[in-house]
Amino acid sequence: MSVARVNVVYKGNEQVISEVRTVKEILEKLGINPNSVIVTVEDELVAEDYVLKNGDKVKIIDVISGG
Amino acid sequence: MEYARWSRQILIFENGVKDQEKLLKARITVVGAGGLGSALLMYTVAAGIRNIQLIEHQRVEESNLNRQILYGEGDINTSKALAAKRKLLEIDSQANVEVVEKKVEDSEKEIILFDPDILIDCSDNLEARRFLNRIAHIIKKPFLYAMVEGFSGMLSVVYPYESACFECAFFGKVQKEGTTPILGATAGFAGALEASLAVQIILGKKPLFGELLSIDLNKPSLQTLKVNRRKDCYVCGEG
Repeated sequence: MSVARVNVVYKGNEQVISEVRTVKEILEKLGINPNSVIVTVEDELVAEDYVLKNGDKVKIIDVISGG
Repeated sequence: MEYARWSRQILIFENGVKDQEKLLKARITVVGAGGLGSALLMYTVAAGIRNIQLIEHQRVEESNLNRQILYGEGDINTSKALAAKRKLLEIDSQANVEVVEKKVEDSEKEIILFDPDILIDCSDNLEARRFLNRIAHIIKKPFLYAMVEGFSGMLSVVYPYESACFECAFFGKVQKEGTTPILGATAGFAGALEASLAVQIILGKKPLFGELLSIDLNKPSLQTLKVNRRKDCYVCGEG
């Protein structure tokens, strides 16, 4: 599994993150609890073990629950 | 029957009065008469969806009034379900509103006996949605859910064993502790969207199939996200 350089949007801030293989590694780098967010790559919901490719557009969205 | 009150919407229905008759015959179970539920209930009843089972066990509090537009100051400390029913009957005196003043987790028998065409979540917690997702897969009826906080919202529809279910998207997720901040208009916007989706489902369409709608009223923007079924999902998967 090779490392990737991806674009990540979280809470409205965009950043480039390098040297990551999976979504799980992005969340670890950013110190985000994986159970508190959902993650999309190219507008598709993915699991933590999703293998990233160079240039992927990743969006991290806080889980909300109110009504 | 006199259709004047629905004449403007009949103009947009593919099958005109026949579609209106589908709405009049439809049965919906709604869980929660809070911020989402206020908008959802008023728009569905106004649209002619007259057979409603409302599951709600809380009482009206002053802090509800920024978003729960079913209620006014005179309803504080009274039963939400009964106050909601009174308001809905003001909109349409022929509506049949069956009130269940229990927690949703204790209402399985009532839901199954009511036999709704759609289960509609307007609750305020993930556990209620998990429960409703399971019930939807037992009765094999669409499950429409929405969640809101601040200026943000998420909506989707589960078509049991056909599209991704709630757990396919939110398995293992946890909700934040404490009071949820919310602008009333966010809940109203999402609740109105739920009402629009409910009408479409009753008329035979399958909106948001395999999709999760993400709402950001700060920008504002709407984004459709693709959600796939998980083979290992403990509710809808292969086991």
